[in-house]
Amino acid sequence: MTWAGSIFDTAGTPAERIARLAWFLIIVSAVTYLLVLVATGIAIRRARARRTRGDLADTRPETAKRLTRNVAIATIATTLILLVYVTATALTGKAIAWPLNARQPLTIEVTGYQWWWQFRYRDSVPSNWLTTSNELHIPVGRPVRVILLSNDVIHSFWIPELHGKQDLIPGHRNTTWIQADRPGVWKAHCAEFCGHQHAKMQFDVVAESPAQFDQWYRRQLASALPPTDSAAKRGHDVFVQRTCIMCHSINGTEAGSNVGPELTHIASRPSIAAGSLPNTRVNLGRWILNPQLIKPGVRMPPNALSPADMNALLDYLETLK
Amino acid sequence: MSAQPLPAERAVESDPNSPASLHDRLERVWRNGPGLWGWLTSVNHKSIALRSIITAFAFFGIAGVEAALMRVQLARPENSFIGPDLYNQLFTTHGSAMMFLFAVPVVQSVALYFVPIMIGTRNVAFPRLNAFGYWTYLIGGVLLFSGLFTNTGPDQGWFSYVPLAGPGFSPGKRVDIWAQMITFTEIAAIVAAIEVIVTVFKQRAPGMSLNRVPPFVWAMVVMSFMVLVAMPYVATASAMLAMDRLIATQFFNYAEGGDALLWQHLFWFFGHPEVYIIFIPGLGMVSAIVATFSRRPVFGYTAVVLSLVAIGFLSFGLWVHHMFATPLTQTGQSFFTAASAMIAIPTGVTIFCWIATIWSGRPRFDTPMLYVVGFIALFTIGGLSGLLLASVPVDLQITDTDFLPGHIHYVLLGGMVFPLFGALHYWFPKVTGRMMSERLGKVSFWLLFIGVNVTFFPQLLLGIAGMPRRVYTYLADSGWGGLNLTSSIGAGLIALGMLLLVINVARSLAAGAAAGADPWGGETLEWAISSPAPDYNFAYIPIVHGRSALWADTGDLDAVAGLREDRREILQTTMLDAVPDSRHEHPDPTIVPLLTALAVGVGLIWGIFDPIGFVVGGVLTFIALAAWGWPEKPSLTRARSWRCQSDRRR
Amino acid sequence: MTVVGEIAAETGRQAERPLRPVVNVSDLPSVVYGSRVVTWWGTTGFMAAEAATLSACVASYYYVLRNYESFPPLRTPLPDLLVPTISLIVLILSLVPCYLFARAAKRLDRPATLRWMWVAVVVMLIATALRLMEFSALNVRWDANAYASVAWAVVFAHFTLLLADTLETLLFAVIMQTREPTRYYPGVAEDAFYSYFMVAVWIPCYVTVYLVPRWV
Repeated sequence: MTWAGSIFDTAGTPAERIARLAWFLIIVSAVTYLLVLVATGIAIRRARARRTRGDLADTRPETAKRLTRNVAIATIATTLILLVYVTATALTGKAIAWPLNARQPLTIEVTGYQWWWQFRYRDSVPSNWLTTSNELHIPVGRPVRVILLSNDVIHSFWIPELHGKQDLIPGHRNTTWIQADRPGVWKAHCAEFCGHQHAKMQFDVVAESPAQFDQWYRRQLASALPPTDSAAKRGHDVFVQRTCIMCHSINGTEAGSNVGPELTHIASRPSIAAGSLPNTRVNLGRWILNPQLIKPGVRMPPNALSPADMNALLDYLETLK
Repeated sequence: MSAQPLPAERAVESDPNSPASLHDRLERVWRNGPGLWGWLTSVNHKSIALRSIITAFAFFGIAGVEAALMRVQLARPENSFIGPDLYNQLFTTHGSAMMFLFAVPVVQSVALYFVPIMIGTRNVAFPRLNAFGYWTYLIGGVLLFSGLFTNTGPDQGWFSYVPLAGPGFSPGKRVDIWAQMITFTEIAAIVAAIEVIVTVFKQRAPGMSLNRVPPFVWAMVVMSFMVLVAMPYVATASAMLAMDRLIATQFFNYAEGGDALLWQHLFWFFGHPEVYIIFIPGLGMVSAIVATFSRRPVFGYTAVVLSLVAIGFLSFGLWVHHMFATPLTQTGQSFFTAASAMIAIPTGVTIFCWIATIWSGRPRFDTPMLYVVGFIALFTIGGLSGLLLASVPVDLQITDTDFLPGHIHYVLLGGMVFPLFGALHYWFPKVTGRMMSERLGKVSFWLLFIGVNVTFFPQLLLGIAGMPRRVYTYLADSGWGGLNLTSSIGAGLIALGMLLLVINVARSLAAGAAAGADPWGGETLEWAISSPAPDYNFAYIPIVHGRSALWADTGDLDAVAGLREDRREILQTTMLDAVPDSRHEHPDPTIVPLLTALAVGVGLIWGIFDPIGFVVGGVLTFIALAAWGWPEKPSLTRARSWRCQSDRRR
Repeated sequence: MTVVGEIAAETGRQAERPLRPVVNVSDLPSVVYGSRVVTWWGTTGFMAAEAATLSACVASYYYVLRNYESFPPLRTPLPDLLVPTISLIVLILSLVPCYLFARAAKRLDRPATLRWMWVAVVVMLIATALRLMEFSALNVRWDANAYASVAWAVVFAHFTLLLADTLETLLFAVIMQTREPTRYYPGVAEDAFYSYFMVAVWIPCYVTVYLVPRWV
């Protein structure tokens, strides 16, 4: 069953094993529930018959013995079900642990910010480390070790299609792992209340073939090309002479701040504002003009740009593919 | 110069001017003072408990309106009815008010009303402390909502995780208001717990040995012990949070060796027992109703009582299941999964025993019994969804999603609110002397039962669908709109059911059928006295011969005479077998508990703004406590008889 | 038929149950001691809550300890041992007059009770003063780091118990001096009982704050 976006829309091993366990537990729960309802229903019916017959309540010792036996049976049955439950849980827990013989895992360090995501790919060659924001690409079939850090408050990293969640706790270095076994594009949500815009702290996940992933990676590593046409040049100037440069970085320019998401390849991203807005020219313009109208409380201030400046800036940003 | 009784302290024959009948004499001694002053100075457990129940329901109503507002906001994707700041205040105060200002106070107040009557005494063990507890609770509740109504409502979630709630990310006084509300309600809860435990241990009717104590009373005793151990943890944690914010301590600041997880451990060590503190009284109420309406005592008394105790103990070993998404060892996690599963066993035993009670009884399905069946149907869903959450791998998928609110509302509404509403219909006649409307009662039951399912089952599904919790909105392309809309419609049904319930209460107060002393034919002592109960409860303290006090004897009840009729005097009995042991004089109405609560209030609220407030409050509290403890002047018009232990030996 | 009527027809009962006195308790005492008094139980209840509070502070101390490789943290001095140990000894010694006035109170012996109560008050005031000096013996401000905060928390939390006990004993002494109501003697004995608890519960706290950093 694939209910898109749900924990049953599995695309990787840990999520699959968990979904199987969840199904099992749901079925066991439903059967148990039915049994409890049926027992209650029978009790009510039997007792009502007693009332209709005009009998008093039955407090005879034989009945008490029978009922004691039935309660004992129900208790033992409960205990057995719970034993099965605990065993199934333990087995699944083992199955979803980090595979110790993982070949060539990818290591990604995730840092949570109020209210956006930073991803740092820790390649084996330090000069190939890639830092990007709000969009996570992973190659299909390769285990990914995820290191979870937080810049401010507790967040939670959760891609339901791939695995359960783990919290990003300031002062702690938490880890988890994911592995996509089929390609796909998903939306992940922050899963720990982190303040005003917890509701709109998302990121895009793209699982693609290793070749496509390498291609994406290399393109992301490349610095931004200098703008060629005049509009884009003017836009570049707006970017570095106004407040944008105070928080954002674009590799290959003077902009190097990491207070906010890095924007080197912003035009290649499907969404902006931490996954909560489709990346279109209009949306980008609205966002830059006044982010507070879209995500009230977000740390980015409004920017009063003249229409000419805004258009130039958008032209420039559109070149950052 | 040893203590000789003063002449005025010797026993005095009854004053020829006193009222003729026993009832009049006792009423004169035990009633509250007149007017507003009488209301403020009351030390009567029923007066205090009733006002506390009404206060709790007032907070329940406000928190319910907040819930309705949230559901309106979530009914459509990207709705702009409520923005994030207000929404965060709403869900935080909804949760905090429901947990701290409604759930615990209401069950403790029901206990403070009915436990003394059920065990055959005239008042709780510490009447003035009881009054103090209520005022402290009221101040805490007013503090929280004053914050909300001045846009300084707490907004960090009812469990207030750090660092979000710390000085770095929650400026202003919002979190401090929350932290002090915790302090007020913790004091009130501990006070009420001590009242219940001591009253039950020392003031039971002669013959009510521990194995004859009604299961409802046992439930309240177990819950009270849990309060004594658990509440201090949340109070310590909230004090540490307040200190981090006000005087720069570093408990939760990792940069100086503190730890965000320390908060979680301290809070959840309280937080998990807290939900059982709320749930166990619900089990007690169910026991009382099932027995009366099945026309037989609860089946498996010993098993039920031992299960309640087991639940109480086990609940302290589960808290880490709230923290599975944090860095923990696998062994640690497995332990808490197993422990969380284990608590289902005694819970199951109690439910099986009640089903057995119904099975062998001849039940009537008046409204209270409907709520019991509703409890079984709803709470079981809550418990089973809890098992899903206790399994670490599944938990990692569904925790912190909408599945959680779905689960908690099933267990809280099913496990406590439904038994509470059943108890409302059951005990309303005893409190007011009038019956509630059965027709309205049944209609509101069905509206609530259906409403709860329509509201919260979709939330279980939404969690599975991937919707996180505590979000003020969600995107249109998430596909969550349909289930959210359904949930919001369910909330409307619940609101309607609640409205009918309120109308039922109002109409019944005005014109309900006369109830008489024992409309339900109950087995416990509260049904032996008139409805409403007289201020002194029992003209003579009854003697109990069996587990079902009223079903063990059919005719007149044996009783105990010899307590003074010109002073407030109660009988104390031994702990195990309830053998009469000593007499104890109770205080008359006094304003001192209110003054003490105000002194504490001044200290704790001023202290949010300036530490000097604590010092001032401390001094004022000491003065108030000195007034509390100061002996009254011996009065020549009121006689006392102080027979001392040493006198008896001579 | 109404619900009430139906049930009444079934159980044959609706009115109050008359109470028939068969035992007279007017000769039971009203001044008793120890666990025969409700205030003993009330005090025990508060003790349970206070012990839980202290255990929360002590548990936090050990939790924070795990975060450090060296403890106390680098550049944070160890707490002094002299003043805290003298303070501990004075606290334990204060139990002697407490025991004596409790014994006198059970005998209803006014002079002895008063004498030992005032001695106890003086000793406890000294203990309070020493405890105030202990805060500076910690050698670190509460806001320096998490270790300082939890150490202060343990000492301060217990200080509130010590302060409450001192003030309570003082209040009782004044009441007994000026009024001497017979029914207050059990309360006086209980005040001593609370003091035993207050001192006993300090010992693990003392070990945690002053000795553990030296052993770790």
